[in-house]
Formats: sequence, structure tokens, C-alpha cells
Amino acid sequence: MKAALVRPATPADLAAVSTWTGQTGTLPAAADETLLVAQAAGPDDEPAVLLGALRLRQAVGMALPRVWYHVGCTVHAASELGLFHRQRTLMLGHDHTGASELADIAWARQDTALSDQATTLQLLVQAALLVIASHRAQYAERLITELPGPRDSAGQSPFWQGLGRHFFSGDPQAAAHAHGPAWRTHVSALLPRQPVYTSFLPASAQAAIAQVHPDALLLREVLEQAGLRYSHHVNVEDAGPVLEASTDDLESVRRVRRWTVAEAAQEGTTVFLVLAEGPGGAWRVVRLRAHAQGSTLAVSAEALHALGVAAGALVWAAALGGETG
Amino acid sequence: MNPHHLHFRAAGPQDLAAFERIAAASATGITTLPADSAALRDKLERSAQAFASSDDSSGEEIYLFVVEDLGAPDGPRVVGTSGIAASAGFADRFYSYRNEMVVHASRELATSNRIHTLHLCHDLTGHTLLTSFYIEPAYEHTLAPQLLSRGRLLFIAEFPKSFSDRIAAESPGLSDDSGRCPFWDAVGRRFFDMDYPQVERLTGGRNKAFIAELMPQSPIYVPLLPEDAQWAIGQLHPVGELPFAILLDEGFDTETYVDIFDGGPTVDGRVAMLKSVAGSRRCVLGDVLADIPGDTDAAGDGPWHLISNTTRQNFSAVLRRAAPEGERMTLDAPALDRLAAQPGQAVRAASLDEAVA
Repeated sequence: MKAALVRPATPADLAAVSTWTGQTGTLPAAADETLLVAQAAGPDDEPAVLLGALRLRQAVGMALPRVWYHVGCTVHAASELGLFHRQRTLMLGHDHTGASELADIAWARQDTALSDQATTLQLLVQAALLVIASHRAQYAERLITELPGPRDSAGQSPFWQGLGRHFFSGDPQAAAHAHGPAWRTHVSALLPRQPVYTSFLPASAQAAIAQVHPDALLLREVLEQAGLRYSHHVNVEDAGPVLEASTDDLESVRRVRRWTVAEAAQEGTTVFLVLAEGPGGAWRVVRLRAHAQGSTLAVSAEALHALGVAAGALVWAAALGGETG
Repeated sequence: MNPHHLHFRAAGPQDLAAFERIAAASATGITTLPADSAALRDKLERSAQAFASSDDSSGEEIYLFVVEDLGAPDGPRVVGTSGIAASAGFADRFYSYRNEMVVHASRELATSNRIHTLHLCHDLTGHTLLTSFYIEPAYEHTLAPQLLSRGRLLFIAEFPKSFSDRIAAESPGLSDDSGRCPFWDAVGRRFFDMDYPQVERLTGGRNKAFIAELMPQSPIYVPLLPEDAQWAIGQLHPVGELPFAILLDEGFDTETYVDIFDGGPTVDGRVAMLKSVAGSRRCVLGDVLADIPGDTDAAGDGPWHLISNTTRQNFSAVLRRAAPEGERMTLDAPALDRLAAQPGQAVRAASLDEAVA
């Protein structure tokens, strides 16, 4: 089943979201968050089938400090001894404070072909970037996403076993359950403040640094296609990588323009991702074929219906380079 | 062995053979006495110059001492060595790890955690350093090690301007006969692919700062180290127990510093607070005693005392029983001979605890 539409979540969506995340879905509590859901194409009179969700944050760590390890490098060299040692270091910090974030990305995996999962994720990520571009002033210069790191079948992270456990003897999963996402902030008060040479950690913990949990490899690929990159930050719990980008460097943000929609007799040949705003701040993002001329985007009557706007409406849109719907 | 026959004195070039013998015998522990004749000769010359010079201290001086058993069966024999470096890390830095406890706490998680960390530091740079202690095993249970270790403190008490008012001493840390050293394996080896003995050879005679600069500059979180390495922090190699016990008795503190290579304890203190310094006093020599003291068991006249002369170049000390107080001291002719002192001249005396003696 292919995703066709992305829109803000409603309370009715939360049950579906929670089946993917294994947690109770909560609508954005903070004013600067938007929970996006992707849904499948289907008849209007049938309940929507949800395929994925993404929480878009305008600025992280501004109320509750967020922490990451910066993975650094230090060289110990002595030419007269023929010694040259490159050492990795971990330095606790709040480096990404203020960045915008694509968070809590969750999607339907069961009975879903990998290619369809990829389509859902691409649509979610592209839609989020379109939302950012259409409300550019509300979002930061930097954009980040945290990916989960490796864990065993019991949910234990080898990285935590090698490092965090020496500084907090409690059960991280229980603490995460009790405190929610804030638990990482709380535990950061217990973690090492001085750089830690990773060579002091067990091999399994070293190997886990910046590695992605197998379940998130597809997501990593989609995010990297969108232009986000690992740049030497990992989360403090399982050392999963933080992918990041300069918001304005992302093609999918840069190419977004304001268009006037017009109705055309025929479907266009170029695939566009279009954000249309409805009354009362409602909006939706639809992938469709269109024909661009000047600042006019000509779409079929069916597409206009999917967008929920009339001809002459202003929309935000960008052509999806290289992709086909 | 008769303590009256022990003679503590400044070492000189004539002691080279004895130093060679001792450097070869002390496989573990005394990195300041390399088994290298040229290096030993150089050290003895530097030491002789330091004793001979009354110039202001530059900090570069080293002072070497010996204890000789003048009553040994085959004639007088050097049975131990000790030394002083005027200023630790002279012309460079002297590195140590400083033990620090940090407490990390989270109110929200209702927990706090006391964490032992090791900080690479230069705190002991410029401290006077006690070095080169070695006593022949046959003399370990005599008063010779007391005279050997504490005699140099009388020298410092007599010539304080040549030394810092703070003092430290390194002790060997844990390692086995094959040179395996758990602290080194957990810390230093991560930065040098070398065994500990190999590193010791590299640093032999050189300032350790050269190697220390390659060690991690940020604090080490001890809980991240393997257990045997954690346990080795501040632990003493068995060969160091005797001199270490004497330093603790003197009042040195052992809580703060450890060696950056083997994790052995580095003790430190204030010179003025050390027992043999604070408890020492100057006395004037009275008339020569007619009696020659007998053996150890002879009931003496008061507790055992370290008694030194007050000359720099021919610094000497002996052990005699003496009255605990008083500004006058009477000594027998052999003692005066060894101290090269005459009635009317000054000596410095410090009593040994009965527990030690």
C-alpha cells in the first residue's frame, strides 16, 4: 500500500501510531511541535489507513536541555618513538541545542514491502521538509534526526553496558519508561563531563558508536538521500548517530516555491510534492503529477480534490527530482 | 650486626662499584639507579658536585648517600643507598595522577554517584624528591634502613635552602616478574604499544615528562578500567614496603598521588612536618666518652638517635643511644671520628621511636 497524503495528526490517529512505536502516542504537547501522519490513498468514505508518523520540532533542548556525545579525535604522536595513535573521544555536550528536529519517526512494517516502507518514509521526510520550507522562519538553521543504536534482543545496548552503566546503576529502560524522553536529560547529570577516550571502553561498546539499529537502516538511507549526514554526534544511551544538515542546503527545502494552482484537462508529467493550506490552519501534503508554467501549477481535477483547494489557491510545492510517483 | 658500626655518609666516586652492584641487584623499583656504569658514574659526579657546592640551589642537584657497615665480616661494605633530587621534574614537568572524587547527582533520578577519577597533574613539580632507596636484604630487619632513609632528612633539615619546603617520594607499583603491570596495561599501553619494562628502559635516565605528554590529558574515570587495574591504583610492589613504611612513619601522606605509569603510590608532605625534621635538634658536643659502645643489646643510655654532623661536603650520620632532651651530647671516639667532629662543635640529633628501633 502506497502512501499518498501527509497531514497533521488528530487524536483519532494516535492508536495507530502507538502500535508502531510501542508507546502511547501523544499529540504534540509543546506549541512548537507538529505530529505528521502519512496515510494511504483510498475512497473518501472509508477510514484512512495510516502508514507512518513523524514529529517535527522547531527547536530542541530549549526548555529541557538535550545532550549528545560529540565523537572527537585526538592524536598522540611522538616521531622519535615512531608512535602515532589516533584516539576517539566522547565529549558530553548540548551541541545541537536550538536545532530543528525530525523526531519519533515510526511506520508500519508488518506485511509491508520494503519498497513501500521506503515510499512512506520518503513522503514523510519530504513532507516535513516542505512544511519547514513553507514556514521557514519558524525553523532553525540546523536540522537533526536521532537514529537508534544497536541493542540486543532484551533491549540492552552494548554501548550503555560499556559506559553509561558505570555512571547510573539503575535500569535505563525502566528510567526511560518512568521519565519519558526527559530521562536522558536527567541521566546526563550523572554521565562523565570530561572527554572519555573510547579505547577505555569494551570492544563491543566501541563498535556500537554511531552504528544504526538494523530496524532503522532503511530510515537512515532515506534521510541520507534527503541530504542529512552523520557528523560526529551520537546519543548518550545507545550511541546511535545523529544525522544533521544545514536546513537551507537541503534540495528539498531550497527548491520549494509558492505556486498558484490551476486545473488542467490532463495530468502533468512532473511529480510534485504540494502543500495546500485549508481553513483554520489545516494543511495537507500530496504527491501528484503537475505541469509547471511560470508560477502556475496545472493539476488534474482529481489532484485538486486531493489537495482540498479550488483553482487559484496558493500552495507551496517543489518538483521531486528523480523520483516517480 | 651492630648498629654502632653503621655509617651513613655522602656517596662519592669511590662508591661506583657498590652502586653498580646495587643497581644490578634491584631489578624492580629503582629507576633512578639504572644498571649502566656510565650513567651511575655521571650521577655520582653530579652528586659530589652538589655536596661540594655552597652556591644557591638551581634545583638540578642530586644527592646520593650510602650506609656502610664498618663491622661487616669481610671488612667495610656499602649495604644500602638513598638519594635526594633537589627539585622534581627540574627544567621540565613532573607528572603524577592525582586522585579526585567527583559526585554526580540527579535529583530527578533520585541518585548520586561517587566516582573516582585520576587527573594528570604537575602538582609535585619543584618538590624535593626522595630517590634511590635500596637496602641489602640481609640488613632489612636492622636499623640500617632507618638510618639510610631518615639520615637524608637530617641533611635536608640542616640545609633547607638547598631544598623545597615540600617533599615527595615515588614507590614502585604492582608488576609481576615478567614485567606485566596491570595499571600500565589498562592505561599507558592504550597509548603506547609497549610493555612496561620497555617504557622504563626508554625513560631510563630521561625525564618522564617526555612520555607523559603522550598520555591522555583528560581525567581517567576509574570505573571504566578493568578490575585488576582499579585495584592496583595506589598499591605498592612488595619490594617497596620497607621504605614506604618509614616514609609513612615520617608523616608523608599517601592519599593524593599515584605514579602515572604503574599506579604506585607517590607520597608527599611538608618538610617541616616530617618527624625526623620537626623532631631534630642541634646539640653541642661535650667531652669524648671514654667507653666504646658495645653491641645492640647493651642497655644504652636513652633511646636510639640519628646523629649527623653539620658539614655539607662530608655529611655523615651514625646511630647512638642518647638522652632524649638536652642541648649537649657526648659521643664516643669512633662516632666523632665518623662524623669528623670535635668536642664543642654542633651536631644534629633526632630520636627514633622505640617502636621502630
